[in-house]
Amino acid sequence: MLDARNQGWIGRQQAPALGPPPNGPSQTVREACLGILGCLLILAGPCLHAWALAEWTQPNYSVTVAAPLIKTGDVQSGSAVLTLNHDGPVTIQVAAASSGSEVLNSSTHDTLTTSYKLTGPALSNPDSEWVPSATFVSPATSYSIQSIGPASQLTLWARAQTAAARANDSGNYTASLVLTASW
Amino acid sequence: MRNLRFAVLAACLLVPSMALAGGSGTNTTVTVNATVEQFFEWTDISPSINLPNFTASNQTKGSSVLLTVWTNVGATITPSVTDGKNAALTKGTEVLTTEYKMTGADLGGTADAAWKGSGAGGAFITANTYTVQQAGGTGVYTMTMNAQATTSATKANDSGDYSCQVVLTATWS
Repeated sequence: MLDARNQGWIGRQQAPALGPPPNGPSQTVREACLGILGCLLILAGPCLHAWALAEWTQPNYSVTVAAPLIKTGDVQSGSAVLTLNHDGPVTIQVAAASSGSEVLNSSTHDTLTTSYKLTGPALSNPDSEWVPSATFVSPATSYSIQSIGPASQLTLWARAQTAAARANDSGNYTASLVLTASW
Repeated sequence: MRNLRFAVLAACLLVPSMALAGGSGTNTTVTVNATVEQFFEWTDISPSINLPNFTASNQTKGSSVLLTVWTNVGATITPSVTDGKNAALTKGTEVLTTEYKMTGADLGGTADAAWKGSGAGGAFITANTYTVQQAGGTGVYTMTMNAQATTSATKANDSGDYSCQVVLTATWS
């Protein structure tokens, strides 16, 4: 006994020039489609998390050490709040924007002892102490956010210290970091 | 069959794009700014020069102290006095003839080539200045303050300790 679908299949076999059967695809075609979709899901499963998104709310941030350094061994710090929109766990890695740029540097190529901290409630491993600049941008250093957002606020702290036994050149010093959030 | 073709086409399109999406990252660049102001520091704010003991009349003895400064500005150093002795070694009413000379390459052409006298109107404490020859990236400079004193040629000065103070003030604009 044929059901309606089999009748359609038979009908299409009998009259191929007439186009798709009036009753829609046969069960076999439907099963084939479902099979392919299943395969797709299986293939996509490991990649589903890759569809997650993360985005810094600003392409550029600035940390200003507001108080000037006025003597040898002087220490001053500043901070900025960075906002990351994300819908899944992310890992944050810090790198120097260019070689050596993690260190506060003057136009006369004088340098200040520079250290950093990255803090925020969203971080699984926030810094509790100042991290030397070289360590801060080391590939071995990373920060993790396990939450799924939607927005996490991080505070980047920078600390500048003048030399203990000489006067650093007067003027402005700058450093530049790149924070990369990966998912 | 049309649906089947569409599904296969979708699979072909989606699988590579999903693979490409893995390991994505987003960057932000942070600039850090700090300012170092001009400053000048004496590493020793109360250095002393101790002359050897005098044992005869008309005797000259001298000594010196190396002064180190940490500065990032070409400051002007001005000697002055505050103790009323006019930079002359004094004990009560007794006074030894006292002279000074500031030397050192870091003072450049302002360094003394000869001794300068003290006392009221003495060259060392009257309109006398020195300039630190500051250069970027250095931050440490030295100068030598030389002092010498001479006992009276016509009498024996009182025995005992003689002292005076000189204030060196650094200024810059």
